[in-house]
Amino acid sequence: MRIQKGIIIVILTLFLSGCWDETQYKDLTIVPLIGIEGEEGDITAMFAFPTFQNGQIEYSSSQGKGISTRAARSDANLQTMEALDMAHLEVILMSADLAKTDFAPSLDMFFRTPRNRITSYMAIVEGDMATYFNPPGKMKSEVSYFYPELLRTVVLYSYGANFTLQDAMKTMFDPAIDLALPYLQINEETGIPKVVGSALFSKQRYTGITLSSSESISSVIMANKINKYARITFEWEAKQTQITVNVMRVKKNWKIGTDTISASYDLDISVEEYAPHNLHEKKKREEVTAFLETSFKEHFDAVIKKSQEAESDILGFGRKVRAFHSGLWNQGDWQKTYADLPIEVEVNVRMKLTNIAE
Amino acid sequence: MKFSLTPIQFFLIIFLLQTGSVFITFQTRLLEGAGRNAWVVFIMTGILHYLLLLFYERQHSRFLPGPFVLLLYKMYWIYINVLSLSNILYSLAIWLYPNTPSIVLLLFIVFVSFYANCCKPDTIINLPVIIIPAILIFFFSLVFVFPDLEWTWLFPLDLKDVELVLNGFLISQVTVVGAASFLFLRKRVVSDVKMIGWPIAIYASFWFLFFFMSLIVVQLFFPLETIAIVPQALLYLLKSQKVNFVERLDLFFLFIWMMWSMITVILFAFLIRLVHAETNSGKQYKFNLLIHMVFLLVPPFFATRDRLEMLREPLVYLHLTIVVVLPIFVFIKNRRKTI
Repeated sequence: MRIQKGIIIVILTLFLSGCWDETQYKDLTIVPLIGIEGEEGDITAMFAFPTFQNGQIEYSSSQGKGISTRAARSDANLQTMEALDMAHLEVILMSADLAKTDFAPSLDMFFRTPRNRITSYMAIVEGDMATYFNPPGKMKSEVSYFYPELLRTVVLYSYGANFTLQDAMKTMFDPAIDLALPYLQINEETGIPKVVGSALFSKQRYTGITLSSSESISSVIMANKINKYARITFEWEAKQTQITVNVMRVKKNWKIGTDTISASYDLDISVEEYAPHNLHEKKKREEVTAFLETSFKEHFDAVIKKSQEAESDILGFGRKVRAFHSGLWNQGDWQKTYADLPIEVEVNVRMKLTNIAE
Repeated sequence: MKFSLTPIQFFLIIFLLQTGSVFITFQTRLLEGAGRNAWVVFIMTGILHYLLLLFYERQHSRFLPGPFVLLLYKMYWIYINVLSLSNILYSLAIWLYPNTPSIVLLLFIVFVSFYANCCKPDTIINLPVIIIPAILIFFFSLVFVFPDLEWTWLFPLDLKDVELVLNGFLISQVTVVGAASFLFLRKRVVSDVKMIGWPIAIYASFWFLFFFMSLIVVQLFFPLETIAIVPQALLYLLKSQKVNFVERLDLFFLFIWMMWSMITVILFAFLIRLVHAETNSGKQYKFNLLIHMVFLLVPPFFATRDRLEMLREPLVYLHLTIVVVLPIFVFIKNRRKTI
């Protein structure tokens, strides 16, 4: 019994010695926003983080340089009071120039380190990274708070889909689909960063071609990845009016032939804005529906055209081709095959709600 | 050792012995080995597992191994426990406790196992009940990832590549490692229960569903090209989920897995003692202490990437010998004796 008691005491003593892996907030600084630019082997990283000064939370930023993102962080650590911690990272901004190179290794420290969050949003920025950390315009909130909320809005309003770190890395490594990330510019009028569309990637590299914001929504609808809202406004020149619709539900049907693709979409929509107010008449509803079908088709065709120019299969036709059409898949490099493939789009619109009660 | 098992206790113990040491790791290795064929290969393994259990059930009365065969089983289970503990230490060092000395974690696990094995058998045979809610939580956690699954990743299949299929089949055998315990525990089940028919079919189906679901979820969540670079696929896909009730779903699940593994270690130690008691009468305390000293001292040596792989390498071949070849050998030997 004495031996047993002794063993128990030794074990309890071990528990009293504290937790080796305890991490205290006073020893580190949580970084919610990071910006990466440069090229592989010469990375510059900017970090935004909160600091406590005079009893208030203020946001500060720091910059580091190194041969990798981790080395750049180590460099930045030498200029901050506490070590920078990436465990709660919310947004990764990447410069367009870096995105045009083989940038996957720059993200490895975020993607594979078990402690790090992999649900952080990713976005591409045009121009100098420092401008996005200190924008010329008057911001209503700190950048560390601004970008996560901005990109959450992008998801909520279906301007983009699948652009968290883990989605992006999975998409990049899958040869049957290509990546599209939100694209940011500094608004010339306001001096505030703005999402202007989506950057198209081809085989892990940014192509330099972007979709506009309305094309981005169209691409999300075409991939059937819509979130809570997917609103598009069309100009109806013949009637000299505008019409805004919200896509409520998408049913897609892709038919892959030996050397063609036919993509058919059934869209359930609600009319959000339509000044003539004549949708209580069935004939008018049919007229509006016909106009919407033509307009959606034009938008969808534009997305296909641009993605083929960029050799970027952002909709993921390649996944179905690889799974069930080996002849087409084995023709060679899928991105090249996709770029030359005739793709026929067909759209059927069902007006489910006019947003006007009887 | 005197104790008896109800059919539910019996199947629950076998389920833990089969799942505890491998259910978190086998998906990655199977997908690496068999590619997109993995799910078809595992259906084959599921059918063979069912046939193996039927075979065991029909022949178990003839399973009367001699001291040498019993020694082989003891050595095999000690090896399985050392492998499990090394794997636990390695996984915890990566995911949860990179700075905590492995001996501290090991001391905690081994001490609990030692203490449980000092208690009456009734204590141990009821331990798996703790895991029942964990099984439900496990299935529930996987449901979160359903919207992220990509169904086209099931195809194309390449079943003509015999080497790929065979390789996958061998790797998938790790899910059957604890099956030999059936032969030792079956005689402890209350005698008036018939196992042939629904009981074995239900157990084999549940076993299959458990492993198959975890495999399918991993296969449909990760492109095949990324599976090799992800540290622990099952934990990783849980980590990628945003839920409101917990910041990191993977850490929540990791604690469940630790508890699961700990009970498996206890059950394997119990099996070793059970087999030892068949040829050695008298006090089991010293033997219990001895095997737990082995569990304490050996695993830290193997808890590195290279050594763990070295230790894991012979598992499939040992398993096939112990779970298939050796029982057949014992059945044939005893059949001749009976004739």
